[in-house]
Amino acid sequence: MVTQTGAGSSTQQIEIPDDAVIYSPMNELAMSRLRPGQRMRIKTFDPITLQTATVLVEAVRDEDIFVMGESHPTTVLTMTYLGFTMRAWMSKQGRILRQETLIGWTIEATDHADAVSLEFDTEGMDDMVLANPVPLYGTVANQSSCRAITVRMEGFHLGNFLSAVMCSVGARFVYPQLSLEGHGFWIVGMSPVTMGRVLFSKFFPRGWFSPQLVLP
Amino acid sequence: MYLSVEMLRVDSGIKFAALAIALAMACSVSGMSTGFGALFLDLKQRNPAAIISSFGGTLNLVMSLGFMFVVIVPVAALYHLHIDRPVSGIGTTMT
Repeated sequence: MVTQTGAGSSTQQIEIPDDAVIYSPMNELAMSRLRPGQRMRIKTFDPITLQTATVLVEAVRDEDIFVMGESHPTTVLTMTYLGFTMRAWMSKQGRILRQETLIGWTIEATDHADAVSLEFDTEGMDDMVLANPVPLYGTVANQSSCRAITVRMEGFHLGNFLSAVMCSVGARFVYPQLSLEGHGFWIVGMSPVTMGRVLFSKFFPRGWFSPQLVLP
Repeated sequence: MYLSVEMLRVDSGIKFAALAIALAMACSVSGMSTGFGALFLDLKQRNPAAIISSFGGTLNLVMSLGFMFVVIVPVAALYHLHIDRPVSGIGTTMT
């Protein structure tokens, strides 16, 4: 086994005993035929400790469980491995329908439709692994040697910045327009125009400046 | 704003909505500033900076910021709701 890390790589030779079974359909067949009270031992290879270990499988009782929308007759198996005991519910066909794990999770069998029918729209994605991550567009060359994917931000929303610009323009250029008439304001008041027109004449020359700044 | 939404490659509907909102906000803030300037008329001051720093100018600035907040937050919330579902799923670039 070759382990590659940032500091280098190391090679380790692991010998798997001839009697250790990593996977065999015969084990499943044998377990499916266990009846309550019967037990069997399986010698297997532990990939974490890199040692062989014995798993004790014992049929405890028959039990009907409700999974995938219907009731299934199962045999409850206890599997003792490295001092830990887990339970599994095996159907008469030899399929594990429910299993407790060492980390406290209980895994339950489900059909294909339920497995991919997540809360969001998968848009035809049949693979749950592909449906979950943030989608990646483009092609990753040499996927086996790829170590990182760089996310490039191509834009930034300027909403808050533009709001500040609009407020500044409004406060600095538009607000004092009438007050800047000063003592000559009586001329504006005496002129034969409506107040609305006066206000619009103050608004328009400076007011259009703000959209010109903001829209581009 | 146009440059911003164009670089973000948002949908055309959202792009035009953002531009329309920006245009409306710019006109609204300018109009509000004109109105506040008329309400809090100060004919004695000749210095625009002094006029702006008066009570009316400060109130105008605060009201403008409040108006921006009232307009931007609901639009941002709606946009977030619009983009949240596709980002969790498939088919939308998260920027």
